[in-house]
Amino acid sequence: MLKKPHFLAFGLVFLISLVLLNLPGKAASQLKLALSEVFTPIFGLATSTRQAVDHASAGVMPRSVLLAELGKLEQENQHLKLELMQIADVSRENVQLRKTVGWKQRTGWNVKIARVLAREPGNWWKALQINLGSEDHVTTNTVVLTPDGLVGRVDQVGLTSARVLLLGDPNCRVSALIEETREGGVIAPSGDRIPDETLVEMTYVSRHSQLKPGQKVITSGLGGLFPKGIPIGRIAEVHPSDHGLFKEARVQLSAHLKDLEEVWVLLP
Amino acid sequence: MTFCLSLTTYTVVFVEASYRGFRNLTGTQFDLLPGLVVYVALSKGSRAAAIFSLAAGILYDSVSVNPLGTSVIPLLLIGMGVCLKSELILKDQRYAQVVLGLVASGVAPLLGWLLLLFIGQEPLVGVSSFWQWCVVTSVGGMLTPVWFKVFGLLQVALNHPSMAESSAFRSDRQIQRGRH
Repeated sequence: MLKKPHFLAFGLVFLISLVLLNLPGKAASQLKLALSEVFTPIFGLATSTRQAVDHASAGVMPRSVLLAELGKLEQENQHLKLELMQIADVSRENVQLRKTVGWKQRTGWNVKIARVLAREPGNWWKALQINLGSEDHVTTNTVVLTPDGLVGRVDQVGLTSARVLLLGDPNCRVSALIEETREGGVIAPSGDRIPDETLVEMTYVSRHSQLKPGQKVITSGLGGLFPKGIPIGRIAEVHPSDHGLFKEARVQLSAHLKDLEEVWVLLP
Repeated sequence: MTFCLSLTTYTVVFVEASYRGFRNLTGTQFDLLPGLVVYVALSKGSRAAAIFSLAAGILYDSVSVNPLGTSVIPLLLIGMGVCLKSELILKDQRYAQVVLGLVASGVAPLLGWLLLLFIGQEPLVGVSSFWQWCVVTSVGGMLTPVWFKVFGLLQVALNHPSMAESSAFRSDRQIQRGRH
């Protein structure tokens, strides 16, 4: 049986947790960030160790494999150089046309590479922690992506780290567009909440739209949070919504959220 | 021992946040804190269980999207439940440790989920959550006896060895009576 002082201990801790739960949003977020900084050294150490192991394993790679990879990279480099030349030409043309029509010039993306420090330990959210913070000009709602596609948005920013909500998290919804048909929808967590991190749901798509598996889904730019045209994924399956008012599609994400080690942060 | 327990809690939260192998294999992440709170409640008493619940819950929430304090209450209730019945629990029996670990690891996510709904959050819960719950419960239950074993060994290693009670009789100091 519990004695009175022991009940007091439980009661006191219960009260503290109620106070923590009822803290104002900003104060709670600041406190959380301050507490999470306790883990920064060990997360840094773990990442450095992993990198050292990777370097060590790369150091013992056979010469033939390295030469084959070098050849492949040289070929890819030539292709990219050619593509860059074409893009530069198109871009120049675009700038001139925009000037002629009087449209505002597009500004280039200012990206910074961030390392993934940690993942959400629970099963109810999809999030990760990166090693860039307010020191590196990261702010709330900063867009996070990889060369393959959109990853999510920054939710909380500390001095040296930030938390990123991934696509498929209930608090990360994105306005999206089917590239082919230009029809819009919203990217939300997968309907039946399957544990597959590579699938999300595109919902609120017009029921008259011609959705087909394989179509490319990109950000629509609506809402002003995510720039237009960032690849999200491809439609894997189409089905009507429960009440038939609109269509829904399961989207296979382009970014490999499962094995992210580095991400790009789109700085303002 | 307090230092070892704090270090273990810190390491458990770190491993849960950074180790991806288990999640990639099963689609869910294990949670070792409910098993730990069972150990603390049975071995260290109610006050230690309350403090452990607070520290472990806050550490866990600091690296999670959970609102701060969400993980404290389930751990606290488990600790309190175990302390209430601690006199009736055969804490040295492995079977009892596994059953307590299973119950604690099964109840913790349910309490957490209810609390999140109560405070207006919308966690990812669906058909697959049942599978996740089964995995979390089984792993938590199976690993609870490990805490008892590990901390039992640490206790032996770090504390002074208990001396056998000396009796008044010592054979080397016995006065031999006889003829000389």
